[in-house]
Amino acid sequence: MHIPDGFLDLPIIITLSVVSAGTIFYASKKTDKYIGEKRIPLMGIMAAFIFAVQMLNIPIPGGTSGHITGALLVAILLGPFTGFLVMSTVLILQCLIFQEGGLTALGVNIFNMGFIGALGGYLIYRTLKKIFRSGKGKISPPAVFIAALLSTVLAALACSIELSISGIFPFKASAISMTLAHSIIGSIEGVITVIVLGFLKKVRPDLMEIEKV
Amino acid sequence: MMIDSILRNDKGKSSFLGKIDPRIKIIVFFLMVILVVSSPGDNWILYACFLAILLILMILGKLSIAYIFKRSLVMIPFVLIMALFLPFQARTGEFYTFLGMNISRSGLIMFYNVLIKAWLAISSMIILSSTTPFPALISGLEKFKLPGIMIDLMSFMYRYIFVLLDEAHRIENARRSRFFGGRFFSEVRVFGNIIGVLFVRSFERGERVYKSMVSRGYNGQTILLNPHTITATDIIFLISSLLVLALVKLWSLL
Repeated sequence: MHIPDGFLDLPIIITLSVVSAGTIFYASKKTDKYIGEKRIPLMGIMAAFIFAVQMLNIPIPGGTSGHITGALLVAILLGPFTGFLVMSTVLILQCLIFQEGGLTALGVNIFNMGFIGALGGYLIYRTLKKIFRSGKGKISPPAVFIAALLSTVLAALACSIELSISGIFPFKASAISMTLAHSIIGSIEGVITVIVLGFLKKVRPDLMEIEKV
Repeated sequence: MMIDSILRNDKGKSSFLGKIDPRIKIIVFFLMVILVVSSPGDNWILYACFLAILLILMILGKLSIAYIFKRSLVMIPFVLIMALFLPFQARTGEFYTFLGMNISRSGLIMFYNVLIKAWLAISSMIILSSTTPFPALISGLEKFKLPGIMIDLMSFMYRYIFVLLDEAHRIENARRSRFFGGRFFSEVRVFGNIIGVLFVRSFERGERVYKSMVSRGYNGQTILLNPHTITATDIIFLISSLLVLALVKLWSLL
């Protein structure tokens, strides 16, 4: 879903870059206020962790393989704004070193994968947790799964909307196929996120209780 | 490994372009990308001008066109998706029939215009990243008043990517030498546990690094040494590239 340069129209680029930059600014202030400098090395290492996780290929039945983004995982473990900053850092580095995602499309990519993926995913997770009435400090596997699935599909949908406004994709065909393809990708993200959280709950329950910002 | 060599990116370090101050390169290349992306479509002479500039930069960076081309293939997935949707672009006007599908002329024009622009932009970014090691790029970006926290996060991330990739490879090797494939669900569970282990190790490393930094006087302020000074060569490179880019831009407006 890393959109390259040259695909997007100027109004979309400007609007979403302003949203992304504003959120980065707000998230920096917020993490600075609540956790201070304490977590900067940790967040940087977490960004490297996400990068390494995205390199691990998970075999999918049918002969292909995929990888997870880890956006929701970091957001649930360290908090939504930390998760957003970590994802933004990963995207900036991928753009500058690997040219995955264009320079002018960077703000849009941060919006899709950081804003919707981490912040949006976390919001869905919290809402679902309230609906399912799962207690504080507990993980609710269905909530995690649905949040991962929904945030992945929403990010893909946002991507196809942005590209169809720019006149690159026809809206209907791309929205349908992107939603279908990403519901599979999102399910895998959901299953893996549930397993990782369950594993961590078992071996390091203390990690679940760290302050989330 | 391909990833490793790209991450270290010192391919064109000893070239003329490699010795230019990162700040100057950031200005020139970012401007180049913006000009390419914002250029009006279907102007072949303009595209040829950009290609000529790219070739000159490539020579200055001692990079081969094969290398640039190989790395620019990362944009292939997107181009394929776009090509896949091309027949669904319902537009009026002329139509061509290709493999039994109707493809509109306007859709086709848009397709190759986007393709050319995307390739020119990605190639300039490849030249920038192959002639500028990432730490230098970060210290250059710092001078453009990026939020301090992002600079810190990028520096830490870059420092630990190598460590964590090694860690991930070790775990992955251990898995492959003990696990001979199973049903999908057991395989996915193993993967989840691997990611969990990686998370715990990364988290603990983060805490350790923070403690050792605090004991050496860290208080949230990272002071980056900036070994770069702008020389006369840098100024000449900046002025001549800005002049060329401005000429191309002005000429395209005529």
